[in-house]
Formats: sequence, C-alpha cells, structure tokens
Amino acid sequence: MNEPELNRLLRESKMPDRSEGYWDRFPDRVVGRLQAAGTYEAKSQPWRLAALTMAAAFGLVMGFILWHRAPPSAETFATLRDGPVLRELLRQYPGRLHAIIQDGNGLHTLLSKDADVSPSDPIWLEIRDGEAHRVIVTFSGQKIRCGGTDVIVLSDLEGRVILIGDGFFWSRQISTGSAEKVQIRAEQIPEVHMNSKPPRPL
Amino acid sequence: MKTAICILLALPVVAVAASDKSAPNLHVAVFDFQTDGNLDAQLGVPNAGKVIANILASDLSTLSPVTVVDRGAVQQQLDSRRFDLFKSMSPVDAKGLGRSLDATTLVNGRVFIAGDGIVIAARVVSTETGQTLGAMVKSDGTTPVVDLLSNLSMQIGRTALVQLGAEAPSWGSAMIVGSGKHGSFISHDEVACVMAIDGQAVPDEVVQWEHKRSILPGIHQVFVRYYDGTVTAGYNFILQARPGASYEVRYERQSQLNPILWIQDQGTQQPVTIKVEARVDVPRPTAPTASEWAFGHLLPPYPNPNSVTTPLPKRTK
Repeated sequence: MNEPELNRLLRESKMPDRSEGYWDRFPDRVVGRLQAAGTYEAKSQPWRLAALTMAAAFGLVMGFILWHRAPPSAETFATLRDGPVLRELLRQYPGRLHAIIQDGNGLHTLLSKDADVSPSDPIWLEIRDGEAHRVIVTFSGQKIRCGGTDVIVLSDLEGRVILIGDGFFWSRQISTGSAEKVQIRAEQIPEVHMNSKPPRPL
Repeated sequence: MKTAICILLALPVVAVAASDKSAPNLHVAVFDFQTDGNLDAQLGVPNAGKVIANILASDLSTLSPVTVVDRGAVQQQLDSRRFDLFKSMSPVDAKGLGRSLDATTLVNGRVFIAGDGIVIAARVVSTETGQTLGAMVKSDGTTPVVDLLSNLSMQIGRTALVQLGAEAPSWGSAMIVGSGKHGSFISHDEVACVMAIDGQAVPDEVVQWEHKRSILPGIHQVFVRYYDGTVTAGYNFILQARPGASYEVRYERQSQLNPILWIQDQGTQQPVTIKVEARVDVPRPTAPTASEWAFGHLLPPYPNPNSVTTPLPKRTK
C-alpha cells in the first residue's frame, strides 16, 4: 500500500463506536487490569507503564487500520448474495446496473450511462485470484474481468453458472485454460426475478 | 472425411428446408462458433467453429416449434462488433440485430479443449428483451460430438422458448431399425441393418437387425450394411433424425445386381435419405472408422472391421 492509498483509507475509515471518555480512560484501564493481576509495579518501574501504554496504543492503531483493511466479511458477502442490496440498486438504477463489486477497497457499483443493460438473471460470484478476493454480483450476459482476461458470465435454465472467455472456461464441474489458476464460486441469485415473465403454454 | 465435411457444410440448406413453417414465431439465428487455441488443427477440420454451428443449426431445425434462420444470411449480415461473444449485448442492439435477421433468438459460442474431450458453450440472446442465458455440454471421452451437439441444441431450444415466455418442452429420442426377410432351406436370410452410428460399431448387427437403436434428435452418420449370406455391401448415410420418429433401413435388390439402400420414415413410409446403389463389396464392408469422421479423434476407438467375426443370420427351414 502506498501513501496516497493509506491516506485515502484513513479518510474513508470510521472510528469504532466508542464514547469520548473511553479512549481517555483506556490506558488507566490497562494499568488497572494489570495491577489487579499483580504484575504491575508502577512506583518501582515507571518505564514499564510507558512501554505498556505504547504497546497498547500501537496495537490499538494497528487493529484500527487492519479492521478497516480487512477483506469483506462473510456477513457482507451474504448480504450481497441474499439480494436486498441488489434489489435496492436495481430500483435506484433501472437498466443501468452492470455489477456490484465488493473487494478490499469496499463496495463499488458498475453503472452504465444509459439504461442499456439486458434484464437477465442475477449471479453471485466469489473470485480468489492470488491475494485478491472479490465478490461480484452481476447478471447473465455481462462481462467481468477474471484471471487477467475478459469473460462473459452466463447462467442456464437450471441456474448453473458458466464463465467463458478467450482461453478461459469455468463451470462448477470443469475448468480449463487460465480459469484453472483462479478459485471461483458462483450461484444464481434466486429471489430477484424482476423481469421474468410467467410461463404460458405453447 | 472431406465428403463428410462437405455434407456438413451443406447442412444449412437442409436445416431451413426441414423447418416447420406452421410453428410459433421462434426463429433462431446461429452464428459461427469460436474455437479455442489450435482446435482446428487438433480436429483436423478447417473452420471447426463453422462446422459446429452448421450441425447445431441443423439439429435445432428438427426441434418443433423451433425454426432456424438461414446460416448464409446470418453470416452475411453479421457485424462482428454487434455480436461479439465477449461483449455484453444491450437490449437495443439485440432488437436491431434480431430485426435485420428476422430472428427471435441469437446464438453464438465457443469450443474449448478440456483434457481428452471438449466443452461447447453457447450464449443465447433473446432479441425481444436482450435477456441472455447460457448452455453448455462437455464430452466425457465416450460421447460422440454429434450427440453433444444434439444435447446442446435441445438446451438452446428450451432456453429460447422460455425466453419467449413458453414452457420448456422436452424432445424424445428417435429409433432406427433394420429390415430383412428370412431365407429358405437353401438360401440365407437377407438383411439391411445399421452397422455403425457416428463411428460407433453396433455389435452383432446382422443377427440383431430387428433390434431398435435409439438416436438423439439431429444429424447423425449411419452406416448401413446389406448382407444375404454371400454378398455384402454398405453405405454411409447422413440422417437428420426428428424427435420421436421411427426409421427403418430399407433395401431392394434384383438378382446379381448391386443392392439399393436407403433409410425410410416408418410413420410416413417416405424415404428420408437418398436411395443409393451400394457396390457389392468384400465379405464385410468397411465402415468409416471413428478417426475418419470429422470429429473422429474425439470418439472412442472403433474396432477394426477386419478383426470382427460376423455371425451369419440363422437359417430357417
């Protein structure tokens, strides 16, 4: 991570939900807990208090940063898979939503300028490509970037998902080409059928 | 093999001619499939993606109520930028391309080499809404490619109908059987039977000529054998099998002349192939081996015909 990214991350980060007095009292509580455990001798060794306070403060800052840098939680993924986020975005941007992407930098949406996105089945994808870990909600027929190449995401009538690209094929049963280097999980999102028509007999 | 490829390349004409004109308004335009890597070289077939699209279009045309847009017109009107497989298609573009082709459904796809077999993936786009769905088949090392394409065509047909708001239909297999007559005390039985389907040998074909063989809807290569105990002949037919149809291998032969062979629809009693005068051959005709067929190397090995002992039909008194 470079400096601008860190600055952006810190700007975007929010403080944990604590009262103002919490942080003022934090060092005292650490000391008090250590005293109760009988391991603290403040008067005889004042440097220990300083060291412990610095260690606690360092841990607090690191935890704060890591907490906000951590990959998306399973809860976040589940929220995307369950569909409420998708439904809300579809309502806000009808015909414009290409994809919702959750990655280490947060939640993003890919929107079209015009309402020219085909109404197809929504698909939930989890992609692990080396260190990168992304969850994408998109639609059958849309193009995404995966394994260093452009691929088209498709679902069939049974809800099975396939990804096809130049030298790239992935399905749950078989993968070939550069798809073999990427870990993919995919499911059709069943609850969002905003554009489907009721079947009629032939 | 060249003959087989030429026949397959000519299939679009057959496909359109065989379409059911009274069907609902469902017209499928099939574009050339893309091939991955050096698939053409591996198959030994130039333009394998085109051949696959031709077979697929022909298979689709057998699936009532599906009709197929003429493949020549499809390729002539194709603007690759408007129907690039790797580009999302907007409803407006889908509608425009559908209008120019008079198509309700657009199909393209790609063929991948996967281990010892292949994967064929298709994209199915509704020109009414732009809704896009997929379909795929993969070979398990034993399934003939034509059967893969038959399965893929049925998936595409169902998908196209559902996109139009219809219920997904199902199409059953066709059947084919031989014909013959029993000989007398001094003469052998005389039969015309199926010796191989898509390069896969039918065991004991002469003895079991009355046994019905199941074939999936669509294009198949059916090798037919004539045998009367002393004289034998064979011919390789291209059969476009309709779902649920029953076919029969038929023959005519005047004494000392070559037999005439064809395949007939049992329902209509009409020939569905050309009638061919098959040259009388050595004791057992040489069926095309799997490796000689257009996608032969992907088919299981075909036993050497010369190494197989064919039991004679039983004599009847």
